Amino acid sequence: MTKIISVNDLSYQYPDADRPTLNHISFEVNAGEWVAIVGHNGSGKSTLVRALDGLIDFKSGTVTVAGTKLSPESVWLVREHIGMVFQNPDNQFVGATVADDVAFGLENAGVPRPEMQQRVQDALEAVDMWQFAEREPSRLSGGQKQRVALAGIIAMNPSIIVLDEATSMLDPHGRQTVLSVLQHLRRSNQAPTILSITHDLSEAAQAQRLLVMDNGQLISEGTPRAIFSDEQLLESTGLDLPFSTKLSQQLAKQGLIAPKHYLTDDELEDWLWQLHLTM
Amino acid sequence: MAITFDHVNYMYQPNSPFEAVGLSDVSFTVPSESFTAIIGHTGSGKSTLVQHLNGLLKPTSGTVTVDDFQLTAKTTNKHLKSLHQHVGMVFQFPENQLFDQTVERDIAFGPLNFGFTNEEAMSLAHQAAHDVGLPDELLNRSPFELSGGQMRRVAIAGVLASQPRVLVLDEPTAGLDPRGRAEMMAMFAKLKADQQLTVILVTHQMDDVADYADQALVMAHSNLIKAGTPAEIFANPEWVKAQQLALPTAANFAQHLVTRGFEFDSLPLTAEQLAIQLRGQLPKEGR
Repeated sequence: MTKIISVNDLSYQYPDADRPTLNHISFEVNAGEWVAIVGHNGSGKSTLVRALDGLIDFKSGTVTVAGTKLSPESVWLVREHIGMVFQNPDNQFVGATVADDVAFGLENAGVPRPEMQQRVQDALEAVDMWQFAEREPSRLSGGQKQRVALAGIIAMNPSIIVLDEATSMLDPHGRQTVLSVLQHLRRSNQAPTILSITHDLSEAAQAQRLLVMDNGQLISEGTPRAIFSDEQLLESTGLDLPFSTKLSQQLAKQGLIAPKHYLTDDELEDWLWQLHLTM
Repeated sequence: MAITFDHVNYMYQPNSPFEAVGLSDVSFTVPSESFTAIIGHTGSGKSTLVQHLNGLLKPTSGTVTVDDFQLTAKTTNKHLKSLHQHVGMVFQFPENQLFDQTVERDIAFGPLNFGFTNEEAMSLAHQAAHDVGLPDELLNRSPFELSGGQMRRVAIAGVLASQPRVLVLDEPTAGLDPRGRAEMMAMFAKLKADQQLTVILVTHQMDDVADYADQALVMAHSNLIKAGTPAEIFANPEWVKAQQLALPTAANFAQHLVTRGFEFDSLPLTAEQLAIQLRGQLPKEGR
């Protein structure tokens, strides 16, 4: 496996803060992997991904992206590898039309016009928004806006896509459409590495690996199954319990047989069905 | 305070090329001291609807009645003051509206504006800060030094300090983490019970609708397309899906169980309701 991101002993303290926001963080991400970063507000998640993009001027530790060590000299090279999508889509539009907006990054990069038009169309088709190409971004729904923001990133073909709570402002339908675009993108030729910050456990469950942040430290990492099994960890870091865990607790409360260890929703459904058949 | 919408229509920029329908013939009643959720996808008219509750928007035609106050196209702005005081609005990301030098002064701004004396306003501010769980030692700090969750509580205290009878919450937990969301929803439920408030909640969180609402209003394309208890709203999963809404997590899971041969008298909306309905369909512990 090629390492596309290596973070080694990264620490950072905001100028007026009384404690470090990032405290000796080390981790690696494989090319093509989907990693979700979870943790309560203020745990340092957003600062961490901003550090990867050179938006934070850290003094201690190293960040290496696609083989390039991040430094004031290399920051523009590193940024070519990373596309970021933020929480509020309204803050990231620059174009008068959807197509203009998606073309913005390509124009800045000096991509010739015929190629640019093709890449804009491909990117908008990838997020199923091509039919909205001539519309005004501000008149779209939240889910549509985030898909356009994502298309602007896809058009640049970065090897890493970072999503900072990009689905948290969306209605359930909008969230679902963005997640299915990401799933689709992973199976495409681009197959980008995805780093997503999220509070939504169903979104985190789609990642291959979770990093758990608390108080500026990386306190745990593992598969969604391993992390979701650790009820104590989930509660102490202010995360939600998975629905299957909540239902298991309620089953026990009703005096019914409950599973003894963590099951995904699908597994719990199977498990209940098997028990039901014995009745 | 009871609220009634009677054939309310609202047009954005009427008689201009930008004319657009905001609300189309909306009628409903919210009983006093009830908890009502307003749901519907982005752009369906939810925010337009709630902006009529305190006269930020006035109906193009039809009547909004809040207690004995009537809001129509003809209502003049100077008559809106009592409505403003009785209907407290908490908008999305209310912490963006903090402005004063100390938490105390920021919270006291509303009561001072409504003509309370300085002493009364400070006393109301302290009570409101207590009600939202802000420790006293924060009152003399700058609101901008606080954490995001605390800033939001300051903004909500600022609304509560004017002692509204109706509390309108537009996605009040957006951007909070799961624990922050749970604490804030529990706080609203307690405020409603302690102060006999009528609560209107605009939300995308169907689990909050299931857990807290007495009734729900479903908006789509500027129309009110359904009103009823959460059980009535979610009773037909195909309809819910067609409206681009989601089922509460427990209801969705129960739907899967139905395809596996489980039977439910009514669709369970919470994990607790689901577990109760599974009694008799599963073996008991220790048998």
